[in-house]
Amino acid sequence: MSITKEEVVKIAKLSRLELKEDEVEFFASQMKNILELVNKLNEVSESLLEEEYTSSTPLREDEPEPSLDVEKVLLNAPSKRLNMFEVPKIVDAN
Amino acid sequence: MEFEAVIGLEVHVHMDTKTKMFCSCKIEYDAPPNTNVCPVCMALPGSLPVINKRAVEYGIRTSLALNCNINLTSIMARKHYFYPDLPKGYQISQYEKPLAEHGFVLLENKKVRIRRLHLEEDAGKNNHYENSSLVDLNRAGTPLMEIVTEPDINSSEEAKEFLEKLRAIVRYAGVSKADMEKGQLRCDVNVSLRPKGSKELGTRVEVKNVNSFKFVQKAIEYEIERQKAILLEGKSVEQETRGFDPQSGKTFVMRTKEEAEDYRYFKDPDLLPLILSEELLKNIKDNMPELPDERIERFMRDYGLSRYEASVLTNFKELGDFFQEATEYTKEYKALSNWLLNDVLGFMNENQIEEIPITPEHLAKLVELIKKDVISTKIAKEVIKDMLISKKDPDIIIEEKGLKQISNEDEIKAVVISVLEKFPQERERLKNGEEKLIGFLVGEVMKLTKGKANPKLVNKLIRECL
Repeated sequence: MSITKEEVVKIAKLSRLELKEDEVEFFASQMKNILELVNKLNEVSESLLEEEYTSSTPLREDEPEPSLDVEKVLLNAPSKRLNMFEVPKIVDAN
Repeated sequence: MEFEAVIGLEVHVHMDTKTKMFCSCKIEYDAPPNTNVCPVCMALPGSLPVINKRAVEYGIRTSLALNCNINLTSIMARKHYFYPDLPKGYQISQYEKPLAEHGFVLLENKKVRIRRLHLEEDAGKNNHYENSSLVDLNRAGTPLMEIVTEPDINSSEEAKEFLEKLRAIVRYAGVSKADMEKGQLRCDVNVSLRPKGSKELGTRVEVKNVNSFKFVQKAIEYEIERQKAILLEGKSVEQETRGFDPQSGKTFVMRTKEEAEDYRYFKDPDLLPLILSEELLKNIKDNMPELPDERIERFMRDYGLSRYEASVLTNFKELGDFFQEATEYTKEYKALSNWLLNDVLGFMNENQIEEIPITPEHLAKLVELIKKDVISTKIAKEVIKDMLISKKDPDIIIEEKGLKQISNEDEIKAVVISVLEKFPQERERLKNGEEKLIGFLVGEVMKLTKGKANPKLVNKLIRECL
């Protein structure tokens, strides 16, 4: 069980994390250890791993309840405009 | 070389619930920004999703209407990606075990298989502003169904036919208004080409978020031509995600293969599996609304309509509902359907009106008035024009304008005699067997009575008075 530097870089990119060169190596070895630990589960018989669900997730009735005031919604926003969250301009690759 | 297009669709349908998928915020399409937002919509720490029961029921209803197998246990999963309109950093969706699988939709000449139907939530909305983007979370969490077909579609026309049928089905099932303009039905299109007769699938290109039936057709047609040109040059098609620009009618690259997402799906630990009881399923099955194909058959069987008439009255649901209600006031079904499809629908198309301007009861009354010889068909044409504009009761229009048919023999006889006196030559010729002159003489009587004389009586009286 090993994990390549390329895989670490890819996972970091998907998580929008910027890693320095030495960090890539550091996390590669950490992730290797984690995967090895999780791999131990393979030693357990599969029948023991089969999930058995007894109860469903609860459902709620389709009845509206009050939402938050827009001031509260935007309370934590670092930047806001026209009662909306302001973020750096989203540019699609076209 | 001849190519064959292989097309699959992924359709997202907003469900017509009062509240969101995982919280009790209202669904409103024109609410001011961020007024239907709560801690769940914003993914604040400690907030937990709770599934909307009606959304589950609507999903089941749709699955049944699409002839799917329902999974009694299905799993909610997290689909991760980063975008400003997705505060959680993941969308709650279904992956390995969707709500339903293996269904089909019957088109005129083919069967399009449904691979799966799953439940999920919509994201918020980004508004692009001068140098920034503004995020409105009102739409975040709107209940969605994603319906995925097998690649059974082979042309843009078939894609359109499928979408129209699907839209009719969800409307009849009462689960969505499926208004494309409001984004309640959105479509991703997968297109690939292969040499005609080949069984292998070519490289597939996904065109994202095409938002009208016309654009779906255009995007497919454009992709077929684009891919054909590449293949004929001996090159190969890139697997990529493209967008569609309605202005130019072209598709363009959105994401390249190198950036293809890894969504890192896993079961949402906030939600236990969705386990449905047989009882709930049975209850929904027993209370299924009438579906489009069923209505067509019933209208043909019960009201003697042609398949064409029944289809029009089914495709335009409101028109069919109108017809249905009107049948409670008259048994002249065929006439009713004629007036509705020719005069009423014609008027609506001409004036680009969406809503039927008259009531079913009034139209039925008009049909009855003709049947009872109170007015002639010709006068009725005049009355309906008035009705469509003034929305008045036909009885009132006839009364006000004095259009009631004259069926009083003496009254008509007087006019007939005066006409025969005015045209002695024509009278003679008719007497001598020149049958076409009856039409002329009837016409003259009608002129004098402003079209109100009962034509059958006029005919009879002219012959009697010759």
